[in-house]
Amino acid sequence: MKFASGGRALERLAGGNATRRAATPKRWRTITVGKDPWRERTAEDEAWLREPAPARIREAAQQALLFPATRFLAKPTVFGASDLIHAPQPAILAPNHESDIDTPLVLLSLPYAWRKRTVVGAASDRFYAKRAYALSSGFWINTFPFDRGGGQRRGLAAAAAHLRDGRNVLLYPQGTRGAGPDAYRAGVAELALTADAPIIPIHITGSALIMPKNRGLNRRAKTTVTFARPIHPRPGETPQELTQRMVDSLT
Amino acid sequence: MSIAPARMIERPRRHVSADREACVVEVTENSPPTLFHSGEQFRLERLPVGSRIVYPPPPLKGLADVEAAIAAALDSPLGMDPLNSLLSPGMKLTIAFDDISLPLPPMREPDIRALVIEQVLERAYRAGVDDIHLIAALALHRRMTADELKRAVGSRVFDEFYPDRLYNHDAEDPGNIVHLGDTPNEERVELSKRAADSDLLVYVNINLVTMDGGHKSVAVGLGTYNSLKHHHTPHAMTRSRSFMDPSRSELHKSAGRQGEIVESAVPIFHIETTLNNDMYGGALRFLAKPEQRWTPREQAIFAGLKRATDRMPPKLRRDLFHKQYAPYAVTGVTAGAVSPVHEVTLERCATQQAVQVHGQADVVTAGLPYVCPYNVNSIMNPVLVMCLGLGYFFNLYKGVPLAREGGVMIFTHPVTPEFNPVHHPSYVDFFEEVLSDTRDPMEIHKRYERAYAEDEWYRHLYRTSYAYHGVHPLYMWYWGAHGLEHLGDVIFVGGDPEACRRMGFRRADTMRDALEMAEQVVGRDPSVTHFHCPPLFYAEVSA
Repeated sequence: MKFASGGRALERLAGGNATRRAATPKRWRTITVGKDPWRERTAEDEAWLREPAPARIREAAQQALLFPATRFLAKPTVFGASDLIHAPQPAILAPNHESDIDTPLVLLSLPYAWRKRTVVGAASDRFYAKRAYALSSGFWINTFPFDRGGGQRRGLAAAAAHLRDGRNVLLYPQGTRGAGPDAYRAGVAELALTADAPIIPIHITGSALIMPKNRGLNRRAKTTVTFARPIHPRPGETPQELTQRMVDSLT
Repeated sequence: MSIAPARMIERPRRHVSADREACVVEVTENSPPTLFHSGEQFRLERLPVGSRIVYPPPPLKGLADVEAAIAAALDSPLGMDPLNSLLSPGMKLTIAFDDISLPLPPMREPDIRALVIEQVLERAYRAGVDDIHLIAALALHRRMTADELKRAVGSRVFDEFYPDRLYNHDAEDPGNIVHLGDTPNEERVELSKRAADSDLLVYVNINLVTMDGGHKSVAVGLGTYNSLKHHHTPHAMTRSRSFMDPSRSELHKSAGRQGEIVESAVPIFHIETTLNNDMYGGALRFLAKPEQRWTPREQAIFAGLKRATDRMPPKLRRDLFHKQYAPYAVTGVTAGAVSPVHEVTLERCATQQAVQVHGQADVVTAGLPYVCPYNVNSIMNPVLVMCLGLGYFFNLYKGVPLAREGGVMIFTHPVTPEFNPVHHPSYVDFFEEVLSDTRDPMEIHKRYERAYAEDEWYRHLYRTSYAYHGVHPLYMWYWGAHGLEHLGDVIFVGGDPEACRRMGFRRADTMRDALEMAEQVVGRDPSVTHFHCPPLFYAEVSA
């Protein structure tokens, strides 16, 4: 069949005919049993963000935007930060974890001398699922990918490497947000024992109200950030014992 | 070869027949794409070289003085005494008028019904008539809302008569229905009691298509399910060739027999009015013209319109389209006895709407617009799409259908499976329950009609809400019975797959695909005719 072909200008002007868009979901729902293998980390560690120049920009951006916003939302009261001046570096910073705002809270509470050499262990399945997330979290809070679970201790090995390079490592011993006071895991203690680094337990209260898990920004609230005395691992101590000491020091 | 559409629009029209010839245009290699309506959207489609496009005739000039024409019609009616001599003090006068389904789209104010009713009322008051009722003759259609009534009869009449003496006909009100008798063919005739008891019944009609008017106005408009069920059947529909041609329509013959019974029971003063086909106002008037005649400015307006409607949210689009009122001009007013009046009216309709076409086509294409008689201010659901395509568009012929027997009709419409829950409650059930079981009109008639017509819930909604009668979706399906029987296949371009499948039609994404699918039914290199409707017109097809 031969079709009419005049009036091209009109056709261009008026655009194509409306088509029925197939109702294809943007993401197929994955039906899985157990852990989703595709949700593993796909983005890599953005190490260049720890270079001096990006670090200076980060400090400026944190002071200009992130910390004021955190102060506005969390209204923090900080105890014991000035004592850190006497604490040895590198160390493992181990706060309890209730909300996403915990990391900026701890970072803003740290003295500059600590903050500039602190890296944050970020769950690789969450923060390193996409490159954009990796860049964003790497820039704002100076993260490195921490592989949770799996029994291979890859996350702990990466953290140990940072400690060896002289950086403080911020790790959440509970492993996830809102796990509760009884859910402290032994991983951080294990790292302290193998790397022979002190643990600085940190206690945060009130942050659960601001950004509860799976709820986004909820409300403003008053928070407190308390730094405990550094805990040094004792020779022959088991990770469980060290963890117990860490929990005791917070209460 | 194109037969000089260039001379069609601007030239002052002296010979109507010359215009009629120019209404059929052949597609050449240089023809521009053709406009297809597709619900509330527009499409530009390329038709095969050698296809015919049948365009509607240009709008006729309206009457210079409508008021005077109405007065003249009332003073010198056909086959009856002048209205003034029929009016006397103390008499019972009922004025019935066509409902929201006419005209399409609704006309700009003042509505012709309002103009006629005002003059009738004026004369009635002068003659000392007090007992006057106005009834919207809506048969089994939905009730008109107060606003819609106000538009139809005008605010002055509305303020005075609503709600006590201006109301909707209720075909399910046992206390206000009378049985007038049976026709020789044993068709029961039931009518509104008020109309039957009146000393004079004045009917104000708008004759948009040749199907309207005549005896169908009173006998159907003020009738009940019991009187409609005799001619609203698949048998009558398949034997109406077509129901747009009253002389060859079983539907009209049956309604005519009923009308005679009504006429013998109550004197009817019938007023019929005709409109031209000027349905697009102002800047959009070019949509009725052949695409070759569009000026660059009009092309730019169309492009803007198309792009805007394509991007608009569907709900906003529907609201905008249903707010359009057509600037129809009145081309004639005739009053008097039903039959002589209707004859004149049909001639006027033909002057505006008839287009001579020689020979049938293997494939007929048409773009279905956003409105049909049953979804004014509402949603065009799939059943109504079927009714508009196979009921109305297929039947807009005199003589033989535009598509040959076993031919294919290709429509453009999105066929969205969406229903207005207030207006079309029984349609939802019909679509889900009946169509998933059978699509054969005869079988539907046999197995389902009674249940839908006598359902108490539908009856309640029809009487108290704004719902179409329970049996209405079945009637819609019957209207397509002739088309379903005659055609080899029906294809909807851009139609919803599920809805088309449910109704037994095929669908395609593009016109080219549809034409290729049609070739499988009618053979290689079919003759294609595009029916460029709206504006409304009909084809007088000679085989």
